[in-house]
Amino acid sequence: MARDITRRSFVKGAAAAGGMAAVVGASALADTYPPAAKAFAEQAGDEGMWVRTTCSPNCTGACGTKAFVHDGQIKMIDPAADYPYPAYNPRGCLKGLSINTLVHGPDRLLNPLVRDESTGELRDATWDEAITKAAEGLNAVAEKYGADSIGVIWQVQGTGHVQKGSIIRLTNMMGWSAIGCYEMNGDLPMFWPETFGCQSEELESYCWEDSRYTMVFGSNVMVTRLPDAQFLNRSREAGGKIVTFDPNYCPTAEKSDEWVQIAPDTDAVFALAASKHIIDTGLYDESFMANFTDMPLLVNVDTGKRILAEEVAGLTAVEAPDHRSSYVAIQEGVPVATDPEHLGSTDAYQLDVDMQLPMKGGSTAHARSAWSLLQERLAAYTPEYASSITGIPAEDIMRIAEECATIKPMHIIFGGAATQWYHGDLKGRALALIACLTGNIGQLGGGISTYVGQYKTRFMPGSWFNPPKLQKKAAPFNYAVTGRTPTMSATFPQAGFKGFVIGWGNPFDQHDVDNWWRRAKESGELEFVVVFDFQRTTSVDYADVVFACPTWYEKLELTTTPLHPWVQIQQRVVDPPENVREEIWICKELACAINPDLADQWPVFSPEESQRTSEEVCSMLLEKGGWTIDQITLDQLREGPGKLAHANPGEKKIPFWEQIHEGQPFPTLSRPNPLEATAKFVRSGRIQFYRDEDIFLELDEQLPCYKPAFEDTEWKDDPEAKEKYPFAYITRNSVFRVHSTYVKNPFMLELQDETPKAWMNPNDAHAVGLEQGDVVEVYNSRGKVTAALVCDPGMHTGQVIFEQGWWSEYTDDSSYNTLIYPWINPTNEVYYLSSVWSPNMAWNECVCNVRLVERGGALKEMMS
Amino acid sequence: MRYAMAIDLNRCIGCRTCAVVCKNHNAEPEGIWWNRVFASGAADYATSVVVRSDEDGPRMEFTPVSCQHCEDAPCQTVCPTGATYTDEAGTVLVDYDRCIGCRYCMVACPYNVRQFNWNKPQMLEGDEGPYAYGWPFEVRQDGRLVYTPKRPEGVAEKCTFCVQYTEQGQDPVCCVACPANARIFGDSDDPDSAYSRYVADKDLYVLGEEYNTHPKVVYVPSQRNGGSHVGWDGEGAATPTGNEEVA
Repeated sequence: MARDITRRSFVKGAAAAGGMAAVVGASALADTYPPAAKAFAEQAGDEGMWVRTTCSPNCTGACGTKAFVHDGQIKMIDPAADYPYPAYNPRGCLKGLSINTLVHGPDRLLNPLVRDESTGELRDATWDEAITKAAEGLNAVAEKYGADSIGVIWQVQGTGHVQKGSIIRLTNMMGWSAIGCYEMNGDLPMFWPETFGCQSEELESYCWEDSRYTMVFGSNVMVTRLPDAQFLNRSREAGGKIVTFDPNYCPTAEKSDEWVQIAPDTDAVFALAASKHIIDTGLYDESFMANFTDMPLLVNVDTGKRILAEEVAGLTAVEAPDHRSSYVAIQEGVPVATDPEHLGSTDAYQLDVDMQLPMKGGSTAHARSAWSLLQERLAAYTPEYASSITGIPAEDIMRIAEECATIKPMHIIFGGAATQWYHGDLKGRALALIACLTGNIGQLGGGISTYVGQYKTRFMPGSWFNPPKLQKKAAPFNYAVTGRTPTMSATFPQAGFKGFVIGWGNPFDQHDVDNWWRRAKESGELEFVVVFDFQRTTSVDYADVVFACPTWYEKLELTTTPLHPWVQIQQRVVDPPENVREEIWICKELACAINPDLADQWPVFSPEESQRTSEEVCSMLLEKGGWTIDQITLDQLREGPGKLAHANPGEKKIPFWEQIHEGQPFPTLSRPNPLEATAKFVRSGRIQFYRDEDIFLELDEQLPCYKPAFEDTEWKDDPEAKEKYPFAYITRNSVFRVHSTYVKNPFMLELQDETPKAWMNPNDAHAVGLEQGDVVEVYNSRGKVTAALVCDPGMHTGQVIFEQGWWSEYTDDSSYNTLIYPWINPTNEVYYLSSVWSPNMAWNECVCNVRLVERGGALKEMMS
Repeated sequence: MRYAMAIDLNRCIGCRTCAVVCKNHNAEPEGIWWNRVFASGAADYATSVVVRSDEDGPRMEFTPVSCQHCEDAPCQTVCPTGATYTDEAGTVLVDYDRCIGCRYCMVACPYNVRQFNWNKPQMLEGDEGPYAYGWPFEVRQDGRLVYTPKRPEGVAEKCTFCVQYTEQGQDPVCCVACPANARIFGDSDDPDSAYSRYVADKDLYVLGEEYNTHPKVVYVPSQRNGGSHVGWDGEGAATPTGNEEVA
């Protein structure tokens, strides 16, 4: 049902009609939009109007903005600056505050597209045709290979629970395989479930100002957490110290009190050496370790397994639910059964235990506490050894260890650049050890946080995500590339992925690891692809059916983020252009076209009623979302942000408050999963540094340790790779993009000379005969990318950095991610819970070489 | 009433948000940036520079630079038509109708902030034809055209302290939108203004003090330098990215 007038001409016409126009306009509108569907742009007079909304791509910002609408268009955008906690004002960044150039830009999808059977090209289609073709294509795949062979990607949940939630509802009624994008994006920091049993917990950014010592590892806060970065400044202004560990001098290093240049992927060595020094100097919090961690629990030295209370002579296990276990500790020299449901009253547990333990049946077991085993493990991590690996002087390692143990609250920011390695979990476990040894968990401004992805589910969304006819399936993406592994525990479609439904993502650039996506589509292995998007990405070019969707200034959405406590809505500031329709209507129509019996799973509404239905769904999500959100109403959100509730007293949410101050067991709830699904990860109810699953024992990873990059991956796969590809290939985030979004923003392009760039240390570049301004090709056995070379003396040697997100039309049609391989670490396969315990993409575990394409070619281009 | 702006380099995170919102709100055409952020000496954004010696380590000191709204503005002195003038609030403005595009001001300005409009359209190609961004209304001051979204050819443009907003009692957009709260605007004659209160207990410096232009834009030096500043040296200011050209 195409509209034959543009939104601009419509508004102009309505305004020009004058006095009577109000009535005429209203009745004319009624034919196309019920009153609730009117965009604010249509209410704005000649003087224009500011409208409050929320900018929320997948960046974790979720920044309140206000758009100035005039003549049916957004002319510019300001921060809303209306957060009740004043320090949160303003929020925004160069990208989000200029998205009007994309909303009204030339790359907008204005009509649904289908691939023409005769020409093989994408062409405009009607909605009827697009939905019918999508249903036929998806049905064909499902009939041949099973419904679970259709993988679904949505980027990402926190940015929208209503419209994006509708694709989740659709997936959950079709039996398609939901792909956990938290893991596919490499965002899942596996040390969290391994250590704390939860998906992750973090300080909201306004707690950073309460920290007095902050250590930053692998997180370029001043670039990638731009609207929150000021809270690190605030900590500094209040007398706090910021220490940034980074191989490369980055904007965050510039704004820190101290930059520690650490060799790439060696954070674990520093963390273990610092832990050893904290223990050796007696600066550790013995009470915290005895009360809240598994350090006092006994391990059978012969088997490596933690000893159950029921196995020990004279002990009776404390009764507990099936997902918990009662273990053994020593108190006043006597074995006692631990209570996995209550924490905080076991100060008297002995940390250092090495004994013969009488077992039921008359045998004895050589038992040592996890603490005792940890001391043995840490013995090798002397400051001198750590210095030889990290490049940090030994005296600095000891000084920083003493500072972080004595200055409180101390907070560790552990970012994606550090986690996204094959052994990223070992680093996280080692850094979490520092946070625990120093007693900072459960304290305002203290602890450890990971900020990667706007994944976090902050209320219970089941009222909308889970239809009555529920067929819920999930599968990790990485196996599509690697094939099945002997150690996998995840569900995965028998035939692999044969079809994809892609929501608001660009995997044909952003996940084209080993060139899998393009190879699979071009070879026919991947038979059918449907894309939801608002702009013509590379993935759109590979799709069979494309649904033209609104931007986040053209629909109602409900957003949350891990970085702040504010629930906000996106509003329909302007109408979607031409034939663009809202996702909630598309998903409903697609479901009914695939299977008419599913009509009863959706509200009944016409496309023109999408806005009103979205409002009803939004209200339902708020009302049924549980105690964190059910005090907030849609009407309140129209006025501004509403605050999520938290359990602890005081203004700010404190992670693990209930565990440390109220004695509740670990883990915290990882929404939307039930507690039972994750509690088994830490059966002791405690923070667990010791893991006794077989694969951890086999790999000698039962306790945190350091394992170097590439030895278990690239160099194992190809022993010659060490010589052929001497550089690490790092694909960092750019200030000019949020992943694949904003690539076509003309202001961002201008600021980058429209040129993708590769960064190297000048010594490395010169050693291979390259100069700044050369056009170079970065390559390995899997793929390649071309870029202009920039030399940066602040970079650690041994790396080539490429700023991720570029669409391949800017890189000679090659994808920069083709170089990367999704190595699967078997410890990530012990359990499978999508987006909580699952194989994680290790973007940085990649080697490369670099060669000249054109001497000075980039310089010429930039100077022209 | 004397408008003034402080830029705290301890707070500035170099993100370029000020430059981009300036461009967006003021309808600056392609190639024109009234407001730029330099990391002096660095080859590109997010690239460091060794300022003194390897022992000092690399640096990336960000210095935003736009019109300094000089009390003794050389661009005004040399303007043959009176197009460039200082208004009652001390803001240096350009009357678009009077500017003849002689570009004397561009030579005279020691900060290299005047931007000549070679008649590049400010409109982008849009989804439904040309799209014009920015404040959509003309602003006139005593009849003088000090802002227009429909940019005339051949005018040496520059920052107006967002005259469209200051005339409504609001701050310039670079101050409103700075996510690090590094830019503070206000009336330097009023001791209770946000500007006056912010700078009251701080050491300040101005760019190009030797030029005796007496800027109304002042800088709080980064403490990373022990209070001295390595910052902007007047070189390389002509590039739109705010960095030195790769060379």
